[in-house]
Amino acid sequence: MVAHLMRMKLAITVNGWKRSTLHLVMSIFLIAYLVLVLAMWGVGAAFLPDLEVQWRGTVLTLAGAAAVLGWIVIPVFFTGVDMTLDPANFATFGIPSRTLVPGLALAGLVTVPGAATLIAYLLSSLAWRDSWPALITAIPTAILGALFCICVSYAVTGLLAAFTGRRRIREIVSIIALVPLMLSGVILSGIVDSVEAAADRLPEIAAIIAWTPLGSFTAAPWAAAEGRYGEAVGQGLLCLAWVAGAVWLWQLAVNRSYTQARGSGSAARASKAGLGLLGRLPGTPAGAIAARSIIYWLKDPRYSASLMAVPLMLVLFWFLGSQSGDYSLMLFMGPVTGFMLGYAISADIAYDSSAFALHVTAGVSGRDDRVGRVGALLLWALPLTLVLTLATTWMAGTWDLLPGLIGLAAGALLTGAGVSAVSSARFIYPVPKPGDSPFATPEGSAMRMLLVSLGSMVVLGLLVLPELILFVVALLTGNILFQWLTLVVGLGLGLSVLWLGIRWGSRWFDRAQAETYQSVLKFA
Amino acid sequence: MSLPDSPGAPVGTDHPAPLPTGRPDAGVQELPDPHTAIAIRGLAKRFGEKIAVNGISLDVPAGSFYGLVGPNGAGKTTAMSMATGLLRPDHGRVWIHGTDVWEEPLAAKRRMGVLADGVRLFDRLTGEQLVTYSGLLRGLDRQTVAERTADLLRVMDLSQDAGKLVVDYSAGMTKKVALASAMIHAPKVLVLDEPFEAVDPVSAANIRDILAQFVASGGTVVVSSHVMDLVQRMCDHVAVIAEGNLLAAGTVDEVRAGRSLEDRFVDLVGGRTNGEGLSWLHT
Repeated sequence: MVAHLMRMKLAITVNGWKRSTLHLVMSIFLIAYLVLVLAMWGVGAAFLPDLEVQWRGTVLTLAGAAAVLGWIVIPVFFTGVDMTLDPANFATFGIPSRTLVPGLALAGLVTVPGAATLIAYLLSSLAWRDSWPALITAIPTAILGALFCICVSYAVTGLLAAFTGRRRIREIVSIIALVPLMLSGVILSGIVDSVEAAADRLPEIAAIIAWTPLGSFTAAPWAAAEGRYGEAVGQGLLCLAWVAGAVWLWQLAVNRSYTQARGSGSAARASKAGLGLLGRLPGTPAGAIAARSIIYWLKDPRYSASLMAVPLMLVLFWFLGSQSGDYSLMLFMGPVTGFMLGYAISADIAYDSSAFALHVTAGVSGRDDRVGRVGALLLWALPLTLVLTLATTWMAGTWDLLPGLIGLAAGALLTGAGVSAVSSARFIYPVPKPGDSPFATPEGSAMRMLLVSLGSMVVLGLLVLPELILFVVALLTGNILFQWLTLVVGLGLGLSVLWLGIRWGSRWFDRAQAETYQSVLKFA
Repeated sequence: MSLPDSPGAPVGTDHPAPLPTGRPDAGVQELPDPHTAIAIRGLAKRFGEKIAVNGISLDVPAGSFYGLVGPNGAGKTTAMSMATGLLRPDHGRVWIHGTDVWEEPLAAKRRMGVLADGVRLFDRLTGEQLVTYSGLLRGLDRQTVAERTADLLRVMDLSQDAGKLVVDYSAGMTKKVALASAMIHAPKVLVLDEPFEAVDPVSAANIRDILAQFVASGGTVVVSSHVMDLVQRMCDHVAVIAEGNLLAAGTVDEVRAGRSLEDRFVDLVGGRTNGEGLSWLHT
């Protein structure tokens, strides 16, 4: 059973590499990188015996805790758990979960991250090569530690999925994931500060962690090395208990997903009846498309992710200001938001995926389609950009810059919307599919994706250049005239680009609807 | 069966089922009778080396319930995509009640309701929102859309789930809501690619009733299907397509020529093995 599962896991991994060369190359790079890291870790551990026993123990205990935390946090927030051996797939074979789960845990050891963790744990026992009792404790606890990481990771993600419904949890989590991603700088500097303050107390902290699932696996040899054999045995037993606990939780999750038996719709609660926005915007094709787009901004994580980025950016800018005491950076909030949001719909049709067929078979005109999509964005993005510009100007107290900032922000937004009106119809490129995480790597031509997204970004940049230059001149000379010029040029140029973009986009849409649909289909 | 040497090879001549019209010259394309619901002349498409549809000509009379059958990869979906404006043909033309699909697409599409196979829906909308959206996209006024949406959801037995997101619908419910979206503008012609796939028997029977009523009131339905029994029972006309060629077309009785449609289909298409391969299975 276990051998079967391990062999299958290995076969799946290898087949994944065979499927695409790019994937294979990426995997080779990843493995090479991991080998390098592991080698460094091994060398580091081998030199640890130079250190006092107390510090050795502290370092290893904290490193072990970091590994466990990583196994919990990374699948939940970033990669999603590896579902190639999803227990639900085994439901039809009638394997009891008490056989299946240990099998899957051991199979987890032959995955790249699983094997890397096991090797890292084993390498860290090199740190105890000067003490026999510690070394003897270190090797079994290292194996248990790697198993625990795998089990606890599957248990946590499995339980989250089982109790909240797969789609919703995936969506919510994929959006929450933005927070640590965007604020990583802030969070890191906070951690560094507190670590500096607490450096002297680290051994105490590690001694406490040693009795938790985070630290026992690497702390047991530490106790053995210091001759606290009773504690070492206690922590060793705890290790077994933690693994058993994680396996039990995982089984719970598996049983739960067995009984749900693919009833994937069951988690959905009946939402409110009625048309929502679709009933409030004008009852025309363009109005309907606008309403649908706004609903998607709220309900589709691929769109909401860019929405979430705005407040996060505000926090980031504010934090950078608070560090330097100079909040003038926040003044760029308005223009950056405008730029970002205008660019955000540059792949709108690609995001529809094959659902775009409805627009084709319904005979939607290019004008309605373009106006609807761009209108949906501007309806909320224009007020938002203006409010942000006003608010940040007010916070910085630099009212004399307001005309220029508005010109720059509105200009970037309008120009971006205009460029997107052309590019979303003209250049289809692969994007994450509906239902995928916003960070999922889309399948298909990566080159095309890069070219188109970079290309439209560059065009957008060039088209905002005039108001940007005027604004810089205004800043350098302090001449208020240039502020107003920026406003006039920004709005004028933005509106012209928008008008032209919608015209060109519509014309292309009408002429090549079927071709556009076919290229969407190719990436769908 | 292999691809014929030339795309101009006569199709279906060795079969008793008569073709509705001979293959016309590529140049001569007189306007077909507007009473013909769908008129297809010399429709062809190739993808690289593979000829997906090899010059098909077909008349679908108004008020008929037309079945399109063929093995996997026969070109059914390609042909239907070209007839509905989703895929531009390399050759040939298609008229919907006398309106050329590729010359006056908007007018032709107004007369046509399409259910494309394997296509996503805007599934972050609720069922009610999706059907309404489809109606508004076609320029219907709000009042009409609201009435028809309620009717369609009731007939499709989806009223209970009208407020649920389509992404949380079952496969059968998804097909039904897609069908409702395709019918909201009261089209004259419905083109449905695999409408019964993954639909439970009860829903399938309901959908069949709806389609039969639609035909009884003068509408035209074209369905593609793998299920011969279903086509024989439900449709009055049938066309058999294999490897991009039209092998037979006409009323169901003409095509099946006294045998079951399934036997006749297997005859036409070939590829049957005699089921003797798995001796160990007979324990």
